[in-house]
Amino acid sequence: MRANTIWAIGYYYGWGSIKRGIPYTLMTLLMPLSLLFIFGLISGSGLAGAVGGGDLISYAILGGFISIVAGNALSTMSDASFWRLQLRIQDLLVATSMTEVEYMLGLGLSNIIFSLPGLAIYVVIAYSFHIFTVLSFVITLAILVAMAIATTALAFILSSIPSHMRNVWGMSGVLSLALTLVPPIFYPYTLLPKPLLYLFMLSPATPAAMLVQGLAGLQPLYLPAFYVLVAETLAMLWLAKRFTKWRQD
Amino acid sequence: MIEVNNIAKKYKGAKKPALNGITFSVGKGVTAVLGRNGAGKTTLMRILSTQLTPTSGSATLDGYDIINNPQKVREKIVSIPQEASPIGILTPLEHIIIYLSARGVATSDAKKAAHRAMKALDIDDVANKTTDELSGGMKRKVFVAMALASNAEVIFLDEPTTGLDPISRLEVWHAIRALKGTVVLTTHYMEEAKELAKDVILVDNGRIVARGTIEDLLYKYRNLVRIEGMKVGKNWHKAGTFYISYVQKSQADKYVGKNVTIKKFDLEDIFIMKGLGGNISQETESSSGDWE
Repeated sequence: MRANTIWAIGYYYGWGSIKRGIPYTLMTLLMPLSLLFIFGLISGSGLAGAVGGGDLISYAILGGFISIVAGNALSTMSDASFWRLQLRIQDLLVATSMTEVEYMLGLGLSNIIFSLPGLAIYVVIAYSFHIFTVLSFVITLAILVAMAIATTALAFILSSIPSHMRNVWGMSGVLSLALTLVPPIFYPYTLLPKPLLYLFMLSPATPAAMLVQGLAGLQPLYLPAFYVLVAETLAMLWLAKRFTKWRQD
Repeated sequence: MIEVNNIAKKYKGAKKPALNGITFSVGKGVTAVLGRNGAGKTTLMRILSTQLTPTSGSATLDGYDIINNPQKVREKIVSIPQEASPIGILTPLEHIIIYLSARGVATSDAKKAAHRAMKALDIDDVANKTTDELSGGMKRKVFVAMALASNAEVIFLDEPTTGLDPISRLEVWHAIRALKGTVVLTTHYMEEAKELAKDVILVDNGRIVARGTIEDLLYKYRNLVRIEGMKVGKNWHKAGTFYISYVQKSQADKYVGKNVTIKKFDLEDIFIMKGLGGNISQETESSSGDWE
């Protein structure tokens, strides 16, 4: 695996997307910031106690971190499909020595870079609300990277299925909802009945959220979630290598 | 040097093979693979650039088998796909760096090679503009610049000017002329083949129907002229079904004043005759069938 190849796609596409598409960069922040605003209002009104949510703002902030990274990682699906179906860039690259894993990690890295402005805003917010210690912040970053890789791999596998961009847009809308909003990202994972929680753990965002909520002291730290996240990351990478349509055959 | 030996490709579920036993070899210089849409040109390009496995047959590139040794082949080739478009938010410079990095070139070397190629193709002044701001011709030149910067020994260009306006096409032709080594380009534009290639391979229905230098091919049919017009039954009329026929030059006088146009025999005529399966007769008029 060549780091230079991955870096070239990641840096130029990720950084290019930020500096030449500020409105789009800000758009990825709309949902988490809106939720933060709503949760802030509810907390301030005293409704939080009524709904039993505890420190809602903390959940909204931690959820924001996960939502930004997972949402951008999922957009690998649109990018990879667009590059394959519309731009034919994938056809150009498959005739080089580039591998599908390098290509996928390059696109994934670009989306992590694209997430950085949003994450920076959330770091400031988290700092203001004293959400993290230095150690828990560093571990949270590692969790976010693992989740980004797993989600990117999942998005990459799915990107090779549609034969029309219209279907890609539909799929990514559904996935975004199913993988980054419905799972316990913005609310305590303990609110979910166990069977439902286990089902939601199929989304890498769920074990990531469980760990982050535990690290922040909002919920008990559920260590098996760590193993689930690692296993999902490795499994998704393997599945991406095995099942992604790369060359025509 | 590319050697293709009896390559055939039948897609799953297809009734007819896309390629049906193609054999040829090409050396340095530009070779044009000429054919109508669906003739099998893109399938051939994809097989030779290791993106697709043939159903049968074999091919080598500088001695490396494209099926058994694709990694070695990929080190030597550039393949620019049909209707490839640059990523709008990236600049030509960034495209070339990404492409060269995919080929294993270090970023600093890629930057230098990119600037050299862009200078050679006269697009250095737009190196840092996003490709969204470029004309159609300039966008295609970005891909040609990738090929040039890569210093690849073999370059496959699949319909490099399809959809471009005449001026943009001239720009791209100018860029293609700067490419060195072995260049194989597919096109359905006769004038493009004439402008760029000395050697042409005419493909139709997955088969090679003619092969040679443009001069040799035209020399072979030097005694023919093309007659085109409308026919009703066997007679030429002002309206009817459009027909093209080929007759001896010596018989051309017979057609003057018969509602037909008499044209000099050209490269496209070989394609029309062979491609549509019309019988070629140098003695009598022969219909090539309906031509839409």
